[in-house]
Amino acid sequence: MEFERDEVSNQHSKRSTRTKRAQSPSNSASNRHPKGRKRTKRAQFPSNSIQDSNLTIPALPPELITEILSRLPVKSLLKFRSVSKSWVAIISSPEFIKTHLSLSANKNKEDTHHMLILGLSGPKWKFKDCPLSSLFCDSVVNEAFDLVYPIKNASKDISIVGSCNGLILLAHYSEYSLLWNPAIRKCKKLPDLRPRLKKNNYAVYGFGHDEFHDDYKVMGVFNNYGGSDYVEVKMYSLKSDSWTSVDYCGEILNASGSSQKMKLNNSGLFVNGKLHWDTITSGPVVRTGKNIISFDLANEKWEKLEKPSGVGKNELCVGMLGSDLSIFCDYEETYLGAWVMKEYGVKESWVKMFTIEYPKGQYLYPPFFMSSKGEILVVFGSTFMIYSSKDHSVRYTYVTNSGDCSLNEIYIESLVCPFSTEGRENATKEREKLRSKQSSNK
Amino acid sequence: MAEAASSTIEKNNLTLKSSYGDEFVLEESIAIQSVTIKNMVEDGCSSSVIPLSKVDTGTLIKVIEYMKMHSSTSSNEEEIQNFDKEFVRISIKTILNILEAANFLDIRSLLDLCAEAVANRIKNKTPEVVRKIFNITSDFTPEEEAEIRNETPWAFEGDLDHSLD
Repeated sequence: MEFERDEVSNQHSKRSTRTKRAQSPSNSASNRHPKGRKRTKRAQFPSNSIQDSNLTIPALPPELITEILSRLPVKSLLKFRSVSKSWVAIISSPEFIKTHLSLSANKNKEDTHHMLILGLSGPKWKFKDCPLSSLFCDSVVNEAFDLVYPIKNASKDISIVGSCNGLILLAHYSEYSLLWNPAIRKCKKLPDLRPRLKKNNYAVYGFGHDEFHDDYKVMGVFNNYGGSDYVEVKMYSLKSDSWTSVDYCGEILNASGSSQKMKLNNSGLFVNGKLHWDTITSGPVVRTGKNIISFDLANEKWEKLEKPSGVGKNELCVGMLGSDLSIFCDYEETYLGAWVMKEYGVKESWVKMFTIEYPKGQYLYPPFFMSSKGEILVVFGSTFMIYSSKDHSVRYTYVTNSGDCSLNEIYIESLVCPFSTEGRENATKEREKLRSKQSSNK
Repeated sequence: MAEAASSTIEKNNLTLKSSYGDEFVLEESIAIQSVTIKNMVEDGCSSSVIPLSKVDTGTLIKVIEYMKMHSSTSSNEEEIQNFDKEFVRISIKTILNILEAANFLDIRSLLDLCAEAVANRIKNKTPEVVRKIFNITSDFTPEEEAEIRNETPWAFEGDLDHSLD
């Protein structure tokens, strides 16, 4: 552990040296995280042109500009890129994008940067979104807004594999996968991975962020439907923009000594830096396994986590609630129960969080979304149901233009670019432009 | 009694002096919400008046009002939330002055409150109005600005707020 931590701080310091070199000395304060800032001398605003003497407010130091900008919604930030060269340089910098993301993800009590994305199948796929916080608010008239979906004529079956830091991974079996940031309307088609098992394969995916290497990674696990035990595992790294082969977790998966072979099921869930898959028998009778299998995106190690004892025969699937791993169970086709692993990796910390009675004629399936006040939202078709675990009450909210959705997921509005290297280059270019201008002014 | 009271006051009060020379007496326990002042107290530099050459009188009055409310033990969380909401119902320029003072005095919660308030007030404004508020002259050529706008034309759509405050 100690060793790992050292590595992290090392990486940090390397990164900050690199940053400093790319900046003018007077601008260096702007991109540092506010907490790490030392207030020795106040940096001057990098542009000379703003020192207009006839107005009362002197230019704010860039660190305060950053404090304000990091609290703005993405759309406002894209708009304010046109304010000045120094503003576009701040907004494009990787450090700012990270600060903005962490404020949106963690510090925002009202969850105003969290969006619910709805996928509607049909002759063509359509996507819509809606601010999550307003769905829990009774006094607000909710409306879903059409998103510009990046692929034209997308009629094929696609699924939302996962959402992380504002990026959504969409996949169509093993044919193609897309990284999409709906807030900045940027999309990247991942390179073809051409698994060896082309036909008859059963693919599961997972998507998450490797904090250690600051990289976004996609996992693809390809099982053969036939009798063969051969399983192909591929991992995509956004930084290298390529797929590499990864060992399969066969030994851990089948260590319990069951006579039936197990396989990974559903999309991987990104919790605690790791992707998690439910396990099921590979048939003919499909049963769920006792373990959840995880893959650490940083050290590329497979591990297993034990499910709570006693959920086995009722279990529907593994999912997420807030940022915790959870298990959803069915009780006598009447109730849905949710278990949550309160302390990651500790089997004893599994607790039953709530049960919801099914509405008439409607089973409930994940995903379930939890508000900052602990209310649970579940969407089926065009119905938005909110359950309050405090008084076990259920209410419905109406969303105009929602349509009849078949996919739903939460994403955070962020500036994270699905082609990371380009984002970095642009920011560097902007900063260099700014620097050359400053030096020519001197 | 009287003697004891006066010695307590002497021991626990600080005098803050604004850039205009106005002096304000404040309990030390309240004033040390400012990390800058706390460090001065700990370094023993607070025996006399603390000069705050970067904070004008009006701003200092607001900052003291904020610190008093936030150190008060009699107010509950809801009252403080309501206070904060009312506190930033002032002109953007005044909030920016307080933001700078909060930065200089190192009062994190006040800095967060002001930055959040300014962000809320400017989010729907046009880039032109924002330039005026922040006293920025555009350093783009018209071509450069058009290029940036064309990258995300949809970010310039919708209800835009043209007011300066």
